[in-house]
Amino acid sequence: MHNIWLLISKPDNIPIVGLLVFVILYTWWSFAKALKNDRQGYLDESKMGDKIQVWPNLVRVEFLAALFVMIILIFWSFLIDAPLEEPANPTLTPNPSKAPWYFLGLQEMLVYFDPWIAGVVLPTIIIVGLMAIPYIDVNEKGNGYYTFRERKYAIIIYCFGFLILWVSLIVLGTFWRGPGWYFFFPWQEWDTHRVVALTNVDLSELFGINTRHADNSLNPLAIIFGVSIIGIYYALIGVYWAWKKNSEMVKKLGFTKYCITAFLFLTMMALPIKMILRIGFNIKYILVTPWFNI
Amino acid sequence: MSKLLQLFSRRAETPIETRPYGKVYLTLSALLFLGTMWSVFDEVTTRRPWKVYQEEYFDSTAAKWEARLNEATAALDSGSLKDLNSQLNEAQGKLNSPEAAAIKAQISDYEEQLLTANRQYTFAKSRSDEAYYFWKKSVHEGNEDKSYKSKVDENAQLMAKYNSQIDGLTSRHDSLDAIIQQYKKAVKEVTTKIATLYADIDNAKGKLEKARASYLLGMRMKPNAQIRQVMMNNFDHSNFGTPKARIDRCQTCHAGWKEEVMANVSQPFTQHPLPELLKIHNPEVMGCTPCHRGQGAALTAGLAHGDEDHYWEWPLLKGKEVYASCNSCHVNETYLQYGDQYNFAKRLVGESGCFGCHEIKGYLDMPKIGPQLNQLVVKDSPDWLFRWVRNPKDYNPHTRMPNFKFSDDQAQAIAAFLWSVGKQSDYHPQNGISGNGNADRGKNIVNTVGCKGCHVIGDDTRMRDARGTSYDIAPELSRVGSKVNRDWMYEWIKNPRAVNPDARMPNLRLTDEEARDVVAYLTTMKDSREFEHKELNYDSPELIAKGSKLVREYGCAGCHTIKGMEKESRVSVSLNNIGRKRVDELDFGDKKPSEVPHTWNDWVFNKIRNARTYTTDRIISKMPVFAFSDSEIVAIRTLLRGYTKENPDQPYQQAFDARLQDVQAGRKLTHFQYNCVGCHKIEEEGGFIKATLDDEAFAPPYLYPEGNKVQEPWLHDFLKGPTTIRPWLNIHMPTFGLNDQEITVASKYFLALHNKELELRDYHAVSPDPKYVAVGKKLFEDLQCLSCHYTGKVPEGKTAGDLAPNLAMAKNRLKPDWIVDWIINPDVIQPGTKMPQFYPDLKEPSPFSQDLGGDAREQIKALREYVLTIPNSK
Repeated sequence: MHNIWLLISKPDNIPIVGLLVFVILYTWWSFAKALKNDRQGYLDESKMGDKIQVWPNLVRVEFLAALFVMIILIFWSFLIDAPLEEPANPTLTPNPSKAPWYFLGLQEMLVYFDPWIAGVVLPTIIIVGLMAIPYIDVNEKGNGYYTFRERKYAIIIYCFGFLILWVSLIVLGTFWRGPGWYFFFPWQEWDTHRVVALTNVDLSELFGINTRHADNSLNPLAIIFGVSIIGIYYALIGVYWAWKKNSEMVKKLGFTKYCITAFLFLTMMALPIKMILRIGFNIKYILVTPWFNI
Repeated sequence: MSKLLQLFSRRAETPIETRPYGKVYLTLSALLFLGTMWSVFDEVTTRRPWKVYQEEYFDSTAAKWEARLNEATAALDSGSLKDLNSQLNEAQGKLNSPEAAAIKAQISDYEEQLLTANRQYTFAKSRSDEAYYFWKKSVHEGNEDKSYKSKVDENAQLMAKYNSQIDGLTSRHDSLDAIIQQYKKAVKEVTTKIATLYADIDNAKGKLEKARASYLLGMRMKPNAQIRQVMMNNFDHSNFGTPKARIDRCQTCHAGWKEEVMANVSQPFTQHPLPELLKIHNPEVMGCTPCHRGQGAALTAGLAHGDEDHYWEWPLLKGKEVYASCNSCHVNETYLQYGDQYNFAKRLVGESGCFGCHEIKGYLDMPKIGPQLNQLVVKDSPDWLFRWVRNPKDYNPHTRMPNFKFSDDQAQAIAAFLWSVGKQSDYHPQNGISGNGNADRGKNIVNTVGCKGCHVIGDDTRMRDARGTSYDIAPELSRVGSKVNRDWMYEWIKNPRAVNPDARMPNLRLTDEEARDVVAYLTTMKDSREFEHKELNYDSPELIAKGSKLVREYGCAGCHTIKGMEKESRVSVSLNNIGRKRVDELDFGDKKPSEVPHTWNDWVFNKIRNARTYTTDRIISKMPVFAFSDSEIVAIRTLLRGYTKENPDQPYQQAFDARLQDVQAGRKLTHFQYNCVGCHKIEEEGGFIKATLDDEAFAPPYLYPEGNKVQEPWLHDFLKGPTTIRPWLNIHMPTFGLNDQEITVASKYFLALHNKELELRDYHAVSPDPKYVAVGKKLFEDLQCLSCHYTGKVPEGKTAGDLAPNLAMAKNRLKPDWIVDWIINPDVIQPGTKMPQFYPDLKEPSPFSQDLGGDAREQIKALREYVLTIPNSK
């Protein structure tokens, strides 16, 4: 239990504790408003009357909010000094070596993918995907008021991507990862010398195809196997299209937007799938190539 | 709560444009203002706790100086002050008398005239120079203008006239001025005397003035509390290799480190306990943290000492642990003037042979500490060898050999291997050569000839106690009769080098009969315990092979020379960075924190105390178990703390230059190789045999002065084969059989201690001046030098304490310069000597005779010249 207090009271982790409270609070609040609107049959926002000018009505409130945040930061800095640690040493990385809290989600991904995928490809796809939202989500509903029923899929997918995959991975990285990036319960003491029986194999090896020959060169069969699995996974885009191309949702999107949306969705889902494969079945990689691994 | 909600809902009903924000704005502004005020307060007070310390320090010094001032005032010699004051009045009276005033007026008159004369001279000279120029020009142009020439001559006459005027005036002026200067000098002398009388008072007043607090409107204005920092550029390196400065602010709180008045005050204001040491390690230049460590830039005790900052990698070294820091600059040295704990640890590591298995800087070329193991067949019995390997401390509890905790099987294998090595040796002692000795005479020889400088025998542990270590430097001989073959012992005592060319034991030049007596005595020293006879097989090739493997694995060759294993490398890890090992890099085995707290200090302590502490069923420790006392372990641990790779660069480093290398090579030879320090004190260390002597006068001499004292050729001959200097001593300087190289090392060592280099010179090139010799002979007789010294035979009927060396040896033995220094002040060269100081003050005339103008220094030289002519009268 001592450890849990250490984790919570660590100056670095204060933003994360705050994040936990505020994310849950605001999510609950917006859902409460959305569900109320959906249930009562009319919008609370419609009672608010006419639109008003941004200047000065909004700007002055924003100014006061900025003032408020500044005061919080000033008082925070009086009470808690910058959490400095030992001088950086290229020959000695701290254990655990944790990224800044806002990158812990990315760092957690490194457990499941190789650095090229987790560090470059996936973050790029996240950014590009976020930028693409206005172009693929053309549903005008929900503009200026809270609703769940009218944007069910958008909200569910967003909440899954942000709350589950991003925020909870940050929390996981902060509270559940200890020395050696091993899994520790928050109340467990961190032991640098902990030994974990961890023997991971590649997916192909479960089916009797060794990834590498005895001389350490790659086995082409394993590559073909891996490429096929990945191919089948992304082929689901076409299968679903063939199956549901007449449904209202698919029709509304059109072929191009459907393909992009489905690709982004499947890529997002690849993370939890890989997590399950790794944690549940000790699968290291599905596809091993000389350049990158998946 | 409900009221607050009502407030919000009422507010929500108000249209946004009309909602008032004045109060919110006011509150936030007030908070912001408060924050600003707080930050100022925080900066000035909360974050500057050192101010309180400095104010306290100033108050405390002010009190001390006030007390000093009162003392000084009370101690003022009012009688002599009165005298001096009247002298001053008199002197000033003279200076201000009408007579003096008249002289002064005359002087200023002369000065006026001089000024005029000088000016006129200058005018004449410039006119002359101008005319000379035109005259020469006309000559060069071929039409000489004589009028210029006559102008030159005319002005030359004028110059001569003014010159003589000036000379006359100057001499008159100077003679008058001398009188005035004399008056002034008299005044100044008295004033200086008064100032000296007041020195303590003035000093105390000045210091008090500086330290005393003054207030303005209740606020402390003076003295100014300020951060006192020392900055050393390029002292440190970041972990990425870039040089960086070190900043020390320790003296901000520890302000009294150099103030002698603050001695014995409590921390943080107390004076440093070793002011002498700080003269060579000035904290005003190099700060405090290079030795004491800690976070120099921090300004609160907790952060600066490192107790509150667990990320600081160099926490304060507490108590004697500070000696660890000596190693960062002096790693190559084994003796430092002020480093008692450091010296002790360096000695322990050097004598215990840690470097046989571990690479340790400063011990890289040390001789192996153990005996060679190639001839055991002729020396020991197989049974004894087996028991010894099994547990050496069982036979000799004070042996340096640690206990490897071998099992019976392992010990048998090792014994079999060593036996097989011994069989290959072609050396065999002559059978029956050692018989017919007298044990009582032998005992007497052993007790007096100097064996006890290295060996402990029986109950006489005085030498061991004087050494202050838990182990002996040479084997204890109390059970030697049960160990070694007596014929071997005889040959060994007669001449160890004949048995083993690398032997460290010297030849004591005993006669055959004396050697037999000693053997007879030592063979009576038997192990009285009964041992179960063990049937051991020493010929099995498998056993020998197993033994050979074990000997290799356990690194026996680190300490012993074993045939076939001369080139073995060290079996264990380097200790050169052990001081920086992190706790998580240390393996505590199965030890719980309650048994061995998980800290560096506790790990190292328990490892040295029992090297097998951390053995587990998977991790096998091979390091043997030593038997150090707790204080020895702490000393070694302190030294190990200092083994880090982060050492300051030049110019902050002590350069290990040629002189230091000579000194260190000499220490290695005289201390670790031949144990000269067992009998002789050299650098404030050694001379342990003194403890076994009844009278200090029987002790071997102090060797520090040797480099200044003896002629190099004499030292060479003496170390080759010692000659007797003090025949009345029973202790002999033995023959070590040093080779020329070793003798050179020793000579260079003695010379380097006095900053001298080895050079060949003939001390007889200049023959003594007969005039001086004659005076010297007379003085020599007057001063009764021969009441202690002698020149031929040892005088009879005198005790050892009253005898001094044969002066006939002086001309070949002593350096002429040294004889002078010795006569001037013998006690400085050899504290506690019986030689009296004949000339206490060289400035005073000689109390003995008027020869050579009664000059003390000249007479000492005469004595020296005479001594250098004394012939050997057989």
